[in-house]
Amino acid sequence: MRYVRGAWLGAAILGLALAAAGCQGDSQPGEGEGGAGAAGGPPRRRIALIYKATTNPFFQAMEKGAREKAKEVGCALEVVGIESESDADKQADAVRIMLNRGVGAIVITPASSVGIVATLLRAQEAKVPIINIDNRIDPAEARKQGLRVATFIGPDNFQGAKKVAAYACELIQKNLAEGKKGRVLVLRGIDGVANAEARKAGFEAAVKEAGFEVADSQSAEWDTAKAQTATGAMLSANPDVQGILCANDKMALGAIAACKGRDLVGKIVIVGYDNIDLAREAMKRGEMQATIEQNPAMMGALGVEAAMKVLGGGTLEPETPVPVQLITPDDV
Amino acid sequence: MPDLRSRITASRALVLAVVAVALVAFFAVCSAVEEGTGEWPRFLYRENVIDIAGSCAINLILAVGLTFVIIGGGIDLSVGRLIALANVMLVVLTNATGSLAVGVAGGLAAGVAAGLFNGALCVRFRIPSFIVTLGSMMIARGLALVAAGGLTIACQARAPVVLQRFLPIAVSVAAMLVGHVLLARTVFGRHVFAVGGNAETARLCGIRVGRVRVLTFVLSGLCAGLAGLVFWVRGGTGDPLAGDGLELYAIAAVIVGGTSLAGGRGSIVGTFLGALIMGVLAYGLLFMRVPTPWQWVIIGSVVIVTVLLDRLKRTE
Repeated sequence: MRYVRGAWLGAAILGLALAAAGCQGDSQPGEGEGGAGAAGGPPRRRIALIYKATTNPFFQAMEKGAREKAKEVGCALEVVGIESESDADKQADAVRIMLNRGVGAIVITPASSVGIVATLLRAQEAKVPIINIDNRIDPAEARKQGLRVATFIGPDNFQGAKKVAAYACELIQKNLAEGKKGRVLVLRGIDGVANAEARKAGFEAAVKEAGFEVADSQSAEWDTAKAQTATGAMLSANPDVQGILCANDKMALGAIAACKGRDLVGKIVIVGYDNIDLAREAMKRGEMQATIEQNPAMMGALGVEAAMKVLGGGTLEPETPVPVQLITPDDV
Repeated sequence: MPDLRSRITASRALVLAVVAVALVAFFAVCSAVEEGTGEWPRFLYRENVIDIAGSCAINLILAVGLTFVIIGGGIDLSVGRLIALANVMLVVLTNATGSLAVGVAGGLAAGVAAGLFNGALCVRFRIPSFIVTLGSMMIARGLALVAAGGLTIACQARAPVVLQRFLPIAVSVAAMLVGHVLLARTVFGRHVFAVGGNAETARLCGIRVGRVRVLTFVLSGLCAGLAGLVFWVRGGTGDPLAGDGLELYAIAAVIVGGTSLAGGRGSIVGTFLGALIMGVLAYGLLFMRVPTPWQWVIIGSVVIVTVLLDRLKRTE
């Protein structure tokens, strides 16, 4: 058993070294502000931007917008992203790390709108204000655990969806025979997710206002392949529809693929959401008629601005809607 | 022969301990340089050290269970996804019955049942464990999503704030200690080594090889269940995508810790140090805000270099 003893010795040395290290410093999260100020220098205003999905162009644009704004207003911005949009535990680690680094405010788009609440409570305890951008922290869970968010800065998904759907209805109306009622299909995102529900409601509101009707509606869970299957099935049952409203661009691409098989491309109005590159390509080719730009860069910039304001003692509106833009083939 | 083996294992632990301390020191220096104030580096603040331990917990627990499977000559790829299954079962049952005890029991039972499933299939039908656990990894992913209804679900019960920080650490330390005693001090532990070293010889010696193998998978499943519990403690949710890809981190921790993939050799102490290295590295890179693509490159390099260091030292 000698080897076991030797091994434990190694472990024990390591444990002691860590323990000794841990006992030397006593951190007070959030002291970075006052601490540096007390030392005579100007108070350091460090802000953390914590986002998700580093490989998604949407969040890359958000980071860029935040960095430019930080440079403009002269604050130090610490950005940390996680690779997978679903890695909630890693993002929680990122929040803890930012608190331990002593940032003054946190700007965050949560990977898990429910799961992040428990970790953010620590920021609240340390009096570090939380600016929520893009994806809303679950309000019910936040209320239950007593988490207060300084502000929510996000796109108005309802208005965005309504805008793009209204544009689609307008296009359809132009080519519609007199006295005929427009009929459209709807491809929904993952049911129950806030963004998906808001977009669905926006679509329905616009369709109702135009006096059209939704012939059929299915969830394709944001997915291109699923959208293709769902569109195929819905088109078989409703061959007379004039438009397809898709809750994101990836599903719009699936709808286009389904229409290609039926030689309907260009004859049927297809709109999406998000303004991704592939959708812009499709619009150039005339396969798709419109999408929505959510301005992630502006979201990042507004997040930094809000953090600076609240650190400077200002107050914030509980919600700041970020304007969304309609993108048509003329824009691309 | 025992003498030679003892020296190898002890020297490995020393190499690993040095690597781990070096990593901590490296990040501390980086942190101090970045701060530039000449004060105690934030990386070594007490709060941060506690958070490092917390962030290592899930991987350490998984790796302890995996050590048994790998020493026994198998592999378990399902553990990452079993975290999600156990975690979701815990929350769903807690919400349905209003009793956290039922939820915790259900979560752990899900892990144990999955381990039993893995082990029984491997042993009874002689299917390689790589294949069985590859399949059960996918099944677990699907079942977790079904049970959660495709969404991250909130839990009615919540761990008190103090426990959120310290329970994961306590559970991981307990798993490690129990695992060490079980592996190094019991008859069962010796049987695991024997089965992994040479199953035929073990059988001729009267060891019930199949039973020992199944038990290693059950232990691995139980550990995944515990990790699912820890995930709930830390985040308070039932997340059907929890633990995605963590099996690879856990396998890396076990291998860095000196356990042979061929079976028959290894130790929990090594696994602990391996998990610590992996954990400190992942946390430290996030702390220094290294871009995620480079995090992968660095973590992969450290895995290889650590094993290489040990190899060089051994041939000396």
